Amino acid sequence: MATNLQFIKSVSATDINEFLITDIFSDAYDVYKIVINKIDTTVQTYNWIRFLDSSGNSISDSEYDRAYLQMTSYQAFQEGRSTGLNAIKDVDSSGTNQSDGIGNVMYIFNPYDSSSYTFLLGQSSGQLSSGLIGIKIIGVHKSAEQITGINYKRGSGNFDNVTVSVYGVK
Amino acid sequence: MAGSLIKIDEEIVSSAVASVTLTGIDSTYDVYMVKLNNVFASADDDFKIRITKSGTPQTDSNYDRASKDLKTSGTFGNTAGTNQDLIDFSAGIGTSGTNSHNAIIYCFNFANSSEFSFITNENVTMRNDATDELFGFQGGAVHTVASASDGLHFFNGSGNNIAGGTFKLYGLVK
Repeated sequence: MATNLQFIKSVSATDINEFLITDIFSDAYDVYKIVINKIDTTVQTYNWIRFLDSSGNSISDSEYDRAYLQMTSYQAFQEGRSTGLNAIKDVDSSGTNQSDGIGNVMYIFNPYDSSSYTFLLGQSSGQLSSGLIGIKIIGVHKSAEQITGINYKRGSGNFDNVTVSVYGVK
Repeated sequence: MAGSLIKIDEEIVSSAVASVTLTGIDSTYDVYMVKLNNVFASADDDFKIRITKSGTPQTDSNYDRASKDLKTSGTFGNTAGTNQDLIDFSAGIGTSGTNSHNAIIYCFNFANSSEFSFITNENVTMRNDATDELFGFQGGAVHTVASASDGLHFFNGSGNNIAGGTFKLYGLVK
């Protein structure tokens, strides 16, 4: 029996601050599952998502809103909210120890539909020097245009190793 | 293959309807997933859910639910209720794809007649046209009746039609 969770692409990168995952969104699906199950970093910071336009260019206009609940093992939970950002910031966070790793699952809704906004729903878990950090996040790209891919970016420093897999939910 | 999704039912709304029902949950799979995308109404409204048994939405006052409300306008809220006659599923939906409702729901124990029916719910929307605010629930709900359930029924609280959207029900392969 054919599965309705269909693998599209997996991209790995090394020693890089940001990279593009191109040509993953199409009219074949309207919802996508993004899975990040490996990140090695040596600088502790948050990671961001930008979307790619129909020409494959990363959109850095101030068109993103996001809200997140940050749940940590070492301090009180924190809320974050912003409008008019140039990226969906803080989708996940990774630390200074390469072996600490990370896990992140995000759903992207309606990216290829030029008459709707593109929405993001995500949850991640990572290990920082202080302890565990989990993030529940919602986001939107507030421009009704066709989106074809994502730009995954470190707030600072590089990904030493990173792998991102994309699935379509048919 | 374990972890795969098998589509059970779908409803694609391209002309206005009063409600949408997805059915087909049985003992074939232990857990089912519902995916909603680009759901909007004929006028600003508030999106709701009821569980179905034998295809009939349950209108009894046996729903409990709790969620954390993520939003861009201020401090996140906690929304909860017991013995309600529906599951409040959104803080508002609008009238086009720019203010649509998008969600992932998991359904647990629905086919088990000796267990309550549980759901988890994550959603994201640009609330409604008037408010135009990023908003999403992260939470869960239960129908506290120990009998078999077979689906979910979606409707708007103030009676406006569902004008667009895609609703799909999947089984999660064991």
